Amino acid sequence: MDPRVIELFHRVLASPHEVREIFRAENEYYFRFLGVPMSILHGPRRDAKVGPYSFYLYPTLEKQSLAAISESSLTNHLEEPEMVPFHVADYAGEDQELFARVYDLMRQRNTNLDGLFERLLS
Amino acid sequence: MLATAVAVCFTVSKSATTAGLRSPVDLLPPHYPPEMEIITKIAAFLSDTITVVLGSFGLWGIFFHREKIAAFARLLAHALVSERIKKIKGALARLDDLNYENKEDKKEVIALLGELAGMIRLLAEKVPSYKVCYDEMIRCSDRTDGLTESKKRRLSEQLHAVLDDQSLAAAVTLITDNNGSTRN
Repeated sequence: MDPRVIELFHRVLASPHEVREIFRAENEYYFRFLGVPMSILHGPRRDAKVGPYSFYLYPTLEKQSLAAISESSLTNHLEEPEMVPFHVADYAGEDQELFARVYDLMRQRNTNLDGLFERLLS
Repeated sequence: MLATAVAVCFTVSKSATTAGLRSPVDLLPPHYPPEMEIITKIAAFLSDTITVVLGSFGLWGIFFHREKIAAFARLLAHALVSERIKKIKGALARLDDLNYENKEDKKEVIALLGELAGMIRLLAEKVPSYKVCYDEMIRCSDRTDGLTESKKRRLSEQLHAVLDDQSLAAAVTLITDNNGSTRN
């Protein structure tokens, strides 16, 4: 468990405009925050030892496209340092909710739900 | 000494027959004692007699115990199919242990679906219910169709059901045939 992940989530939620590119691959959203590729995965039927959400950082794959990172995480077995996982079950209480909030943020940004409602209700 | 000579002659006789020679005596060296020719001829005669006796037994079995031979062949086929089903179920158990919602398991799930598709390919050519599973598994392993955990579970259960159905049908056929041949 790394408490800096929670700090990062707070930053992402506070400055969503810094999120560039969002790429959805099945149950996972890949995105770049301040140029660094990362992803958040949601799996409601996963084991309790990892929990329903996982967050991944790809520190050495900055130059790759999000689609390429998604593809290589399926075809190759990415491990540290290429991919660093953080599972929601390792965190407690309110910190766990942050995983869900970041996932929801990416889902909304990807579907452009805010823009859609704005257009429909204006 | 005599026993060794008979054994050598017997071997020579069989080799000669295999090599397509007219007589086993052809294989003997040019200068051999005259009694060797007699022993060779006796060995050849014994060999041919045994072949005739065994061949007759075989023909007798084919003509008068055809049902039992067929039942034995069916039993062998059933054992082969059972072994194949056991292997497929082993791969299915490995698939069931994985969760496609885990990023770390995705690659293995896709690989196992490909492996299972390969295992049922021959069966899929003959049985339509396998064909349905095979087509879907190939599409998922080639990733032309999207895969989810629920779809993976459905595919697994579908194949389990088809395998159980085939095991049951094979067992029933075997029992029915055995009862039939026992009555006969």
